Amino acid sequence: MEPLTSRAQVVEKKKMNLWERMYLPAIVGGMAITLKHLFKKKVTVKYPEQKREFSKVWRGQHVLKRDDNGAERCTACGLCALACPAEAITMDAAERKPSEKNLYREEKYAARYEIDMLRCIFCGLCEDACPKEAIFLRDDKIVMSEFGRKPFVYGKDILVEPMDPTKRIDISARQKKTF
Amino acid sequence: MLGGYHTEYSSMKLGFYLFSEYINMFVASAVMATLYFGGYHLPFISGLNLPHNLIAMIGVAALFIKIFLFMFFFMWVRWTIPRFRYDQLMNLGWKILIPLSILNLLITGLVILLVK
Repeated sequence: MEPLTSRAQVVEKKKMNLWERMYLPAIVGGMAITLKHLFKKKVTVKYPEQKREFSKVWRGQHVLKRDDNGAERCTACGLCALACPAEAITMDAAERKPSEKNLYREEKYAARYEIDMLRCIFCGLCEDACPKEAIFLRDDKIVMSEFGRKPFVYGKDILVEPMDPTKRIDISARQKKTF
Repeated sequence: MLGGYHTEYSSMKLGFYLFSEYINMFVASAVMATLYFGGYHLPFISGLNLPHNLIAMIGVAALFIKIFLFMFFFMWVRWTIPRFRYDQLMNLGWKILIPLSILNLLITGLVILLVK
């Protein structure tokens, strides 16, 4: 059979000689290894205080984007909910009133948009399905832990990015898909 | 694989258990350092003509350094070989280490005999 990795080794089961049966040389070798590891750079980090950089392809918490004028891009077409393999997305559509033109880009908008973060598997299919470039998975934020199940259903209050142009969430890396 | 008291005890009771094991380790290290490694003595220190109080303080430090070296050795072995298979351990103890110690005894006796 073809070996799965290049590190496969054929193990020979032969009788050990006296030197090997003493175990002591092997033990000393093992202790040299542990001592070497004592002085090596640690591979772990002290997590809450120290954080590792996320990968560029990291898919974290979702964000509902606004356009340059601050109007929500989402039109509640439901394609993300359809694409979602975990059925985590729920939404209610509503018609835009003439006075809300600065809030929503098109005539239809999502009155309610909820993602159940306990169901979500962070596959990013919603992002791919979205025809309006409205939903993205952030590469800089993890969904936080909570004490119950209820708080994990994220509504528009959490998902939609702030109106303030200085507080917009940068998803340009994901949009370009340069990775 | 799971040793009895690891599953039987939790929190402070397990804490006391492990604490007592470490106390045991400390005492054993202290006995070993005192009996076999010269206790509070350091080599060549009597030739330096230092004040007595300083020598006493250095002696205390020396004893504790020896004790901690032994404790480090204990932990070093323990984390290198977390579970030594018991039959192998028995083989090592009875068939290797005891003959080695008897050999050590014989060689030491021979050397003393020859030097005198």
